[in-house]
Amino acid sequence: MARRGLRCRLRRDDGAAVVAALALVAVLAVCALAIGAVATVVAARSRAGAAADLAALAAAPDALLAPAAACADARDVAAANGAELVSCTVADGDVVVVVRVRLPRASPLALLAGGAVPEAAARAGLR
Amino acid sequence: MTATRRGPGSRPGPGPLGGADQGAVAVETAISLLALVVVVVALVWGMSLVGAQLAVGEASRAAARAAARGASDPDVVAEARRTVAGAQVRIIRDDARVEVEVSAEAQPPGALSRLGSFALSSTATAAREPAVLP
Repeated sequence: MARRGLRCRLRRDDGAAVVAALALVAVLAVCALAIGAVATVVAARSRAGAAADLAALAAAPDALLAPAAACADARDVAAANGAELVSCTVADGDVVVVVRVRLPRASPLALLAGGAVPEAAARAGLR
Repeated sequence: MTATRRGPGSRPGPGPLGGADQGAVAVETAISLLALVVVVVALVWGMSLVGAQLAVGEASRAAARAAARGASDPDVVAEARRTVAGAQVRIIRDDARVEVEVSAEAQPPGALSRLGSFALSSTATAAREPAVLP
């Protein structure tokens, strides 16, 4: 009996267009989320690159005389640009910094991005 | 629809396709297509917003790089506007840092622009170049 009722309901095709439209909207929503995730990662990458460059430039003037101060400068500038310093090495008046940008953990886009933690390195020196 | 099986759900009609709900799918399609168009327009605009925000971020970083190289304020502004034409650029210098904030407004397309606009902005910070190298 239940089967027969179901068949009767399924035979009416009003609502079919709405279902198709909702399916399309769902597909579009998935596309939008994917593009949002890509944009999040692209923005974080670019931020990491800039933070690394600016941190290395900030550290360069002190590289020769005060390596510890140089790395403190690098840390400050990286933090001011939303990145964290991963490593900072000073050798022969050159500073090499590596920074990374953490995506906001709460963001669903960050989850879609697979927990990517973009890193970037930059070198600056007085030579 | 099939003509041979007729349950309580379908209404009597003159032929296989002549039910009283004939045309219902067409009307539904029209209405849901309209809704779909609205969704697509919103999505496309949202993507353009995302692109604009990425561009504003790029602009602030390029401008901060220029500032870190010791560029003057007009040069920093020009660097930012190379990426985002007509952007507003604010440069805050203290004794150790220079902060560049680039902001721009994104208008919705067409008649929707009367609803208001989105403010996009991004900030980047560089260390000031020492005036005299040690």
